[in-house]
Amino acid sequence: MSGIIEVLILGFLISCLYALAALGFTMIFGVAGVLNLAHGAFAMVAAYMAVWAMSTVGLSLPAAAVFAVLGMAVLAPVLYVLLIRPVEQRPIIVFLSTLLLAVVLEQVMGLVFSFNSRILPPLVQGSVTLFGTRIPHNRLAASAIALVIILGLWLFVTRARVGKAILALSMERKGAALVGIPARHIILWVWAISGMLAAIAGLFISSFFGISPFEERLLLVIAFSTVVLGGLGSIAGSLWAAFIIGYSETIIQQFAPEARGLASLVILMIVLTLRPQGLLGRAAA
Amino acid sequence: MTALLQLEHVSKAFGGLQAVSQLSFEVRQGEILGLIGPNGAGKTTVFNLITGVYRPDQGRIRFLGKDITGWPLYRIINAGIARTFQIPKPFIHKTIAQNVEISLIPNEIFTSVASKRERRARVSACCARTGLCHALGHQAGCDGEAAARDLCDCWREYPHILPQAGLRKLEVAKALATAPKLLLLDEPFAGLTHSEVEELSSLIRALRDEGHTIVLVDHNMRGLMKLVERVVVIHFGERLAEGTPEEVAQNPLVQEAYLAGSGADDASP
Amino acid sequence: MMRAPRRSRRRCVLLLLGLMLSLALLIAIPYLLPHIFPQMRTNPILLRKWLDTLLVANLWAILAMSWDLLGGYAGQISFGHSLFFGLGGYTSAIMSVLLGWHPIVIIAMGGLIAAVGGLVVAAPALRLRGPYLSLLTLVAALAFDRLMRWAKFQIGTPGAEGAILCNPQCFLTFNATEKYYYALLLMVLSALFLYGITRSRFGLAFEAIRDDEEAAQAAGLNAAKYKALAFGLSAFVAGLSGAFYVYHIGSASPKGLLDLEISVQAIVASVLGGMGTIFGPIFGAFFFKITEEYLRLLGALRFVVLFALALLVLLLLPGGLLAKLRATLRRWWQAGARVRAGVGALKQGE
Repeated sequence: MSGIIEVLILGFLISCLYALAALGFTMIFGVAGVLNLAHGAFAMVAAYMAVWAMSTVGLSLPAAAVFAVLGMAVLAPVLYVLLIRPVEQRPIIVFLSTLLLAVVLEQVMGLVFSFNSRILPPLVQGSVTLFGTRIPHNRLAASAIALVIILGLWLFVTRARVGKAILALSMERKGAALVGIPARHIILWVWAISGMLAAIAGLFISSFFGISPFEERLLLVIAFSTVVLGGLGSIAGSLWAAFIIGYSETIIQQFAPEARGLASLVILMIVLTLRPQGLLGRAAA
Repeated sequence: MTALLQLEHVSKAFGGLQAVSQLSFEVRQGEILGLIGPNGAGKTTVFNLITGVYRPDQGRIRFLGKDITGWPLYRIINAGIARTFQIPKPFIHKTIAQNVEISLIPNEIFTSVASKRERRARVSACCARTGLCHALGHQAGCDGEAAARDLCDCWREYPHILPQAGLRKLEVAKALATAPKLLLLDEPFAGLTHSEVEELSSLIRALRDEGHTIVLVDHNMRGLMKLVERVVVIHFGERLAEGTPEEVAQNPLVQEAYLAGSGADDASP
Repeated sequence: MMRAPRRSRRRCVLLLLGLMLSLALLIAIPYLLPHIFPQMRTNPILLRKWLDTLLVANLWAILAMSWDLLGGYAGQISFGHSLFFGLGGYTSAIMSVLLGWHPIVIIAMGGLIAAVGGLVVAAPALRLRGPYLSLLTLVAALAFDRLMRWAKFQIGTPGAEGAILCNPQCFLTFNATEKYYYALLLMVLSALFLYGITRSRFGLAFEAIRDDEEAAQAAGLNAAKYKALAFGLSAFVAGLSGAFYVYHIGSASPKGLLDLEISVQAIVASVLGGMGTIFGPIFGAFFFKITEEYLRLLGALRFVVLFALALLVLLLLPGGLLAKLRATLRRWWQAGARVRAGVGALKQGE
């Protein structure tokens, strides 16, 4: 019984984070039409930026976290302008260049920080006991922050000027251009936001499970599975899917820990086979 | 005359838009049928339903008595229906002759050795039949039977050199190469000059005389009047009228549809 | 509309000449190496190292060509070609230990099992397009990698995390030169096989489906069947390469056979050499592997440099290195022709 409650609670908490990671991924696809295979790498790099800020610069943990998030908000659009914008017209090259970017980032981080796993200290100390399950404050904080950000993002997209422009772009590019939305400018915003979302997810996930350069692939697979299950480009779908993936990962973690990561892959393959457009997705060309 | 193709109460909706509703008509062996209607009446959708690009929501489609509803596109093509596209779709990276050859590739993995030579001969025949390469100049090194038929350039040149009329002929040649009994031509005259229309019309007539049955889609009645023997008019996805061109042109319902629709000038025969 | 290239007779002759010269170079290279690098005469280990590098380049060329058939011709961009490579490799490791058949039979079996794997992946892949298809292949490869790490093999000498050490059962020869020639032979046979396919009606059908699937179907082609065929053929050749690779390194492991980087390298080699050309990827693979070996003194940094370099080439020359080379040569040729014409005119004027 306590096992079930533990799965229910932990699954909920982790799902919020997965939703956050998936949102950044799906935004880039929805608005810019790019499947960013370096999304997991962005999260991993952010975690290492925090590690570096703490150990070398000597910042406190919260300051290091803020530094990492802002750092990704700058780095992501810069990498986009350098590596993806020049080949925008060639989807295969874009896809390949994000994949190469991911591999290069893995290697660079491995060289700078070693390929061994590091653990980031919990961002919030302490724990609380709920229904007989010990839950670290860190996890509670992570999901609370994730939910706040998701809500904030929703408000941003529906209320703010830039947010509305982003939404319009994701719906109809030509129409958006007709009403005078500067697509090239807005897309930079999208990359910045997506980088920040990846960074926040990366920081928390690495404070739960530790971080190593190749760990980003697992994160990418989770973001993938979530986004594909929900339907590429569909934000509501991603939220639903995050909970399905989050719970199935937690269940696997609880009962067959060595198969972690396999569950989302299997779900992903089944979904791709049976319903390629995802739960709530639009059919892709 | 026997019915080659029958549509029975065929319906298709896209979301909230009823593109085709309860449409029934038949195509008779050896005729040239015009399928006309104002812009957006659902003509191309009918072609897409017949060729299995879309699956009808309701109704049946029969070809030579066989129910072909829901068959995939390639299977319908191989059963003996060929189509052209409203906007020509040449394979731009392949030569003109290879474009036609693609229609002749069998789906079986293993075939006899002689098949390649036969295929090449058929390509030449189809190119020659449509007069596709007649307009292109000769090139050095072209000899033998191919030269006699003015076909060398078809094996060398790519579709980008073809004018609009040439691309339409290429579409017809590609369709002919699938050895169809029924030929569906989607707006074959769009964007052609008067003399090009005449030339293509006489080709279509000749093809009919050789035993092909032909269905033409056009929103312009005037161009079709001399060519077609029977007309089916559709409007908002429904059958509005059917009959000889003269009957249809006199039909008040048809006149109203055209006057209310896009082109008033299109209606007068 | 894009201007399509024209294949003249002179170009065919030049292509054939270039290929013959390259082949002659690849055949002669074991004897040329000690002459080019005198230190190899006194240091046989160095010679062996370079022969092994070239051998692996041959295998990578096979993998890249197989990717090109599927990606460049049939238009199905696979991000998980390591799956087929690994299937071939694991087949040859397991069969050599359990059955001990002749290497030729086992390597052929590796190709066949990989082809079956290709058809299995093709079944869901037929319903997918564009990024979804690439995702599926990537995910299939990642899942197979996880599966192999999870499986505890009790075959041969079990190694760490799903590894099978099949030495001494999977063994060809101690002679590095001889082994290199076997790999070269396999590469040449694969190249001929794949080139033959692209020149046949299959190649024509693949390209038609790649360029416009609806128009291809309207020409009566069963697109699903041809795509599955492309998957099967491509996986078969990739499997041959993986099976041979296991005979070279003496083990099968997720790290050695199934790593994401292997798929990336195959794609990069194809794109560098030029997609849709079959021979281009050979060039790309050799360029890639030789550069990698030269960068070895950089240690682990070499992968960063290598992939960054690949990224740079992709950004600057999206058509591929070979196309760029050809364009440069043609410019020189034309410049030369102008000069000759000019000289001729001057002489006439005299």
